[in-house]
Amino acid sequence: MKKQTRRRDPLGPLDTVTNVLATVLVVVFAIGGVAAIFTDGITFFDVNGPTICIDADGSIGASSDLDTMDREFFGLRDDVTTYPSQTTVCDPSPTFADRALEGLSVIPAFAVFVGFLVFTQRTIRYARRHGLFSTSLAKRIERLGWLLVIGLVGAACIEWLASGLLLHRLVSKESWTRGSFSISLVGIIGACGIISVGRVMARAAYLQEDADATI
Amino acid sequence: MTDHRIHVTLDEMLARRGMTLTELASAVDMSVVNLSILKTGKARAIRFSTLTRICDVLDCQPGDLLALGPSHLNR
Repeated sequence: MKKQTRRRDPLGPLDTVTNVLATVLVVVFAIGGVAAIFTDGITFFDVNGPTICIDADGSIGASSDLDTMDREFFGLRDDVTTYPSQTTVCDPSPTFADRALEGLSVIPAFAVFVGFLVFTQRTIRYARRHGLFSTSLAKRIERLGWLLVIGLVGAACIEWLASGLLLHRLVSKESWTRGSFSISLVGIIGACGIISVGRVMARAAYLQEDADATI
Repeated sequence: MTDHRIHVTLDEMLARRGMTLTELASAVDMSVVNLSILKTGKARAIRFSTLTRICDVLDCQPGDLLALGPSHLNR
């Protein structure tokens, strides 16, 4: 007698992970937001704090090497040279524009992550309602991939621009182009993978239609 | 729009044998829905195993169930 294999839910793992992450985000935001509003000295997401800080190039401030006493204290070898790490510059009384730039240098990537989470959950719900193999679902998946690519690149550009402008406002000799640019290559590759999956699913939808209409 | 001109003449065969679609479905162990899809020309393909079972029950040849419709060029 053939053993009946248990059919696993193909959307199960993604559904579980996105639900858990969404729940954690909601809880963290609820607790953090309430604490930031009602408790002094607590900032949420490092935004709206009493001071704003940004990393500047190491050329600002510290000298390029330690003196003899420090070298002996740290046990540095004679031929070893030290260089200062990045300097952080802070403004204890930021303007609204400074705060806005600080927010824009941090929040966009997080917004892309939240948006991706929401769209993924909506896509999963759509798949459960309309079936796994449909051309409309395939188009949604491909669109999700494109949104992620555009979102990641866009967020990186906005954060670079915002951090550069903020740095220029605090350190006038620093150009606005010296902002911090960082983009998740894994995210970009993953997004391209999602686009490809969408296109494969579009072909699979036609195969499924043929299979459904085969008696 | 279909990409073939094959007609399934199941209606005529059932009438000749005096059988209903429901009786045929039960005899070949298939759902009435699937047989209905076949009968109404909505099927895109038929498995040989399905054709064999139907022909066994209706005591006919596959050619008795399938017909090629006229091409647009020959009208």
